[in-house]
Amino acid sequence: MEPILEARNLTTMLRGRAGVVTAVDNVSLSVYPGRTLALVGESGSGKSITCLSMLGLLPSSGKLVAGEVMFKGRDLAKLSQRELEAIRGREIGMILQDAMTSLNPLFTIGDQIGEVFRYHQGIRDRAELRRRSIEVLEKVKIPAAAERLDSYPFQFSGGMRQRVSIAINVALSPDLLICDEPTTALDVTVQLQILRLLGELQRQQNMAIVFVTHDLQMAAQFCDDVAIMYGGRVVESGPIREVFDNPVHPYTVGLLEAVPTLENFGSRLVAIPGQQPALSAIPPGCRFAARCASANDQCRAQYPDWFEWNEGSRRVACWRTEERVQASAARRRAEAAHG
Amino acid sequence: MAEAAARPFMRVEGLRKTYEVRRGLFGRARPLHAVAGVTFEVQPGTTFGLVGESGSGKTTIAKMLMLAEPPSQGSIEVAGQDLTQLSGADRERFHSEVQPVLQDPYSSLNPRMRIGRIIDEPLRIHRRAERIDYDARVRELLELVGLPGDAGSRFPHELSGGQRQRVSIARALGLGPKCMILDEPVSALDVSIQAQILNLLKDLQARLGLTYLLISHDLAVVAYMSQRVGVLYLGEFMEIADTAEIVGNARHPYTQALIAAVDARSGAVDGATVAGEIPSPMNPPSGCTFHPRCPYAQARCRAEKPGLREIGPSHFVACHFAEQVPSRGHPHASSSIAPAPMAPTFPPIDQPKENP
Repeated sequence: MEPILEARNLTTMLRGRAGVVTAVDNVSLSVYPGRTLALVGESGSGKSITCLSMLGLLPSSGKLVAGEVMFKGRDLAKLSQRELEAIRGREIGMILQDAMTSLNPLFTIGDQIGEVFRYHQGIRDRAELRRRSIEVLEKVKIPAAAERLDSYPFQFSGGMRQRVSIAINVALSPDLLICDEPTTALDVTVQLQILRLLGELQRQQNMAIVFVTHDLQMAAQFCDDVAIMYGGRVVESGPIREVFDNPVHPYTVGLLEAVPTLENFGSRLVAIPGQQPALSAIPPGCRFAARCASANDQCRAQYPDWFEWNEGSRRVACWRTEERVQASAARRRAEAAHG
Repeated sequence: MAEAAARPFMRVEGLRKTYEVRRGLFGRARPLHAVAGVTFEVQPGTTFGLVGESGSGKTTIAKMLMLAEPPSQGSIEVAGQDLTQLSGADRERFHSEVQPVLQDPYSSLNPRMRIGRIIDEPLRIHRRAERIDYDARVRELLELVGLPGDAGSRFPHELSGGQRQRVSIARALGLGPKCMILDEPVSALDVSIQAQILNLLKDLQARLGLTYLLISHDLAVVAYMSQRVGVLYLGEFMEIADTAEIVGNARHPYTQALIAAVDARSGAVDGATVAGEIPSPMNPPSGCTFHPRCPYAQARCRAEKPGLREIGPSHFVACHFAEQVPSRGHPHASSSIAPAPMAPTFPPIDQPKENP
């Protein structure tokens, strides 16, 4: 299957108080139609900046200095803002964490959904705009859509606002939807409803989704593939079940052991010591070396190459990959022999 | 310890908090029941977890337990003392025994104060040490929470989120409390840091014999930390039981929904879920407050409010149909991924039972 979006070697610099830092360093991602890629990482790992870089939405302090973003045969990194504006909202949608900030509080929901059709399809007829807006509100399962069209964002609950934001972004059936922590601001029972809605829309439209999250459990529930980011780099990627069942990078292993779940609540969590390096003080070698129990001099001196297997579907950036893969295979053989 | 355990450290009975809310300048005041009658006990040296979504009343309960809000009704007893009857001097002493750790270590630490000053401020207020001793005590507290002893000269902005949360814990420990109220202590932290703080809190509890009241929206965090769990919805308990019982044999449809939401293997994304969102406490639903969202609701649920009843040893549920509701947290899961077998891996939980 051909990826709908393929980012190659993205590098983004940000200018901040600490000087110029490399927020995204040599990141490559592939997103496939009908599949969801989880972009997992902690705050400051560069996951949101990666998405903004791909869409040309970086703040003025940021610049994509290298790499290409191939989307349907075109390199988004080379397009002008005007050309990108024609793509964003029509072929690529983007949903942010808090719909309260992505919706305009001064306009009705109907105005804001109608704008999509006005801007991208040049529809001016008010009745027609209304009819289409009702249609998309129904698509995201907002009850009594016709009446809610004249409401303002503050009259909606958090979950309903996020539905409106999804409606705006899927109104024109985009090929790709980028969701940046779309459920983080919501209550847990509502999170599930939003995930289910996204899943249904994805199946109806064969949409590709990039799902940015810090929540491993949620990523495991909802996504097909995963890329784990740390210190501005992707450290491990692959089909999510394989990566989570058989993690190789020490950071992935550590993250999975550090998160409380309902399966492991009786046993002590294994915390990862230390903290993520500041972007202004990125070490020369592997970014995780200072927190890694198996780091050696090579790890500290030189950034690891990619190790790939399963025809490149599994990738890990760790010097110790081969021994770790062998050790984990031996462990599984031993477990299989025992039970 | 056995005799001490017979007496709960904290006993909350029929606790209510009602706010009068006025719509507009001349609107009539209407009651908002933030906490609508909760009863529970916390045994010394254990953790009681309060889990619920926003608006469930969990923080209001914490405020009342810390004397920041007077209850509208009901009683709170801590270490044998009725909180509503405390005199001035007793109140002061109470504050040194029960200390809070709050969610956001960015806003709970004064950015203009050095860490040492932040930590020794409670000592100064309670005149706990001679001036000369403050530095030594601060150093000792910093080391207790895993920070370098010389961190006292730094400012909060020089520390990471996890380090700041350690500072809030050090500050809370300064007066040698018996109990800490932990209000979402890790939800503002990154995932790799959460485990550090949770483990630190567990170690401190074991070492200092602390009693915790833990408030969180995350059932996995609550299960990891607590011996007993109470599930709050619209200011009332839906279910109270020991942790293993809540996780493995939840009987309230709301508890089951919370479990499905955090259980990666539940396949809940593809199954039926709880509908809608938490209603306004200004206008709570009739009968069972959960009925409009409940997949099993029947006519009786709309009409008659279920009380908490004991359906197993110290397992309390407020549901008319608790026995009929299928066990496990994801009754509708249509996914082929089976839930992991859980029961055999439970650690023995030998905490004393309580009778809410």
